Amino acid sequence: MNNQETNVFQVYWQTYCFNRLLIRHWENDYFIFNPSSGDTHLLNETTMFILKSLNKKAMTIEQFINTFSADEQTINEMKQHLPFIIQNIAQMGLIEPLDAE
Amino acid sequence: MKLKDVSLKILKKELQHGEFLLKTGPFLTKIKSTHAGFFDLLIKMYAENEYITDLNQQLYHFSIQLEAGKGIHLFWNKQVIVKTDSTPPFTPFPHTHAFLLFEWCLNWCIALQSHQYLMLHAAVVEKDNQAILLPAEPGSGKSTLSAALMLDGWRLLSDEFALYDIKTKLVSGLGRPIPLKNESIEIIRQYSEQAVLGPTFEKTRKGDVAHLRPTTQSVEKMSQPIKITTIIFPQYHIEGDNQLNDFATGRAFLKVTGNSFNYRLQGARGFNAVADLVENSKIFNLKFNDLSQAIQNIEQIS
Repeated sequence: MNNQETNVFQVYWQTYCFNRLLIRHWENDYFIFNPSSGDTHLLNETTMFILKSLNKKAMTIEQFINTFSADEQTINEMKQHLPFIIQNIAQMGLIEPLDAE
Repeated sequence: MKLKDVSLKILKKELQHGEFLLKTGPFLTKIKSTHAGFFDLLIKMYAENEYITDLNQQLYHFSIQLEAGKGIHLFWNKQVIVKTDSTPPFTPFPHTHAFLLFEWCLNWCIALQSHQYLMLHAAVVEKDNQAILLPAEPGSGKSTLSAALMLDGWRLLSDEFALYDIKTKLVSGLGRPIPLKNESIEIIRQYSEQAVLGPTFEKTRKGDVAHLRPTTQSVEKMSQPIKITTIIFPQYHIEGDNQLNDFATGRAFLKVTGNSFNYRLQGARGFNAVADLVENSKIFNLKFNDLSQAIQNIEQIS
């Protein structure tokens, strides 16, 4: 892995004002209203699980992946997709990076 | 007093002096017009609506003035201009289209100023305390369907604005004519002998437009707001079967918020209002190419 990829996996992420979010859940969809931005978002089960996990405890992508007992192929897929998902959630204003220190 | 009970002579005088308030649902609109072609059609289309001429200490919501075009357009290519309390929202229309201009201006006033309501771009009809919300994009057949339902005995609250009171969770009626477009005009004319249609305004930016007068019941009950019990997303299509199917709550939330004039402005209370609405309503998708069959489908689930 190069330095840029290392950084992505080692940034700590935490939720931002999670307790203020309005959340409704129907079928497999989560609709979230963020009072800080006034935006409404639609998240699937996977993304919502990630958000809830980060709300329990700030984690890096690497730490998040390590919470699962998964085979190598699954772990590689997670490494491929998670940076994109994390970036999306961050752009929604729902999570923010925490200083690793 | 109702418009149908006023003489044309008195109405002209009141309108020319701007001493006239028209009641449409929860709104009072002050109207001033010197345009001759406007008076007859106003009486015809709003026959059952009440009006007020004693403006002393009377508050009103909107003010609309119709004037003749300026300069050369007084004599050639005659025009009508609309003004409200703010910047005129529309370019001049042909003078024959004064009523159409009034209707579009009133829509504009409601959409821009009525943020005490969550405003949904939807028709609302009601029968036996079963109120149906019909949210839809232009071209879906919403106006034609709501017109047919009204002519079949349903109360029409509105074909365009669902005025949803977030506190009471009730929708108010407006008692306004339905603007039918293009093929829908003749479809509704043929659908019922009870249909009272205005003249056809040709070559508008939406094609041909003619107005259908609201039924007496629709106007008389406009001060009786009601709770939505059912949401139906109509979809007119030329080919294919008529189908009424269940519709997912989450998708309904997306479509209702997407069809709102001021969802974002309402913030958190708008989010909760729409969420509560879809959670507590029966929700369907209706594909139709036949009005009678569509109405039959709707009657079966009501």
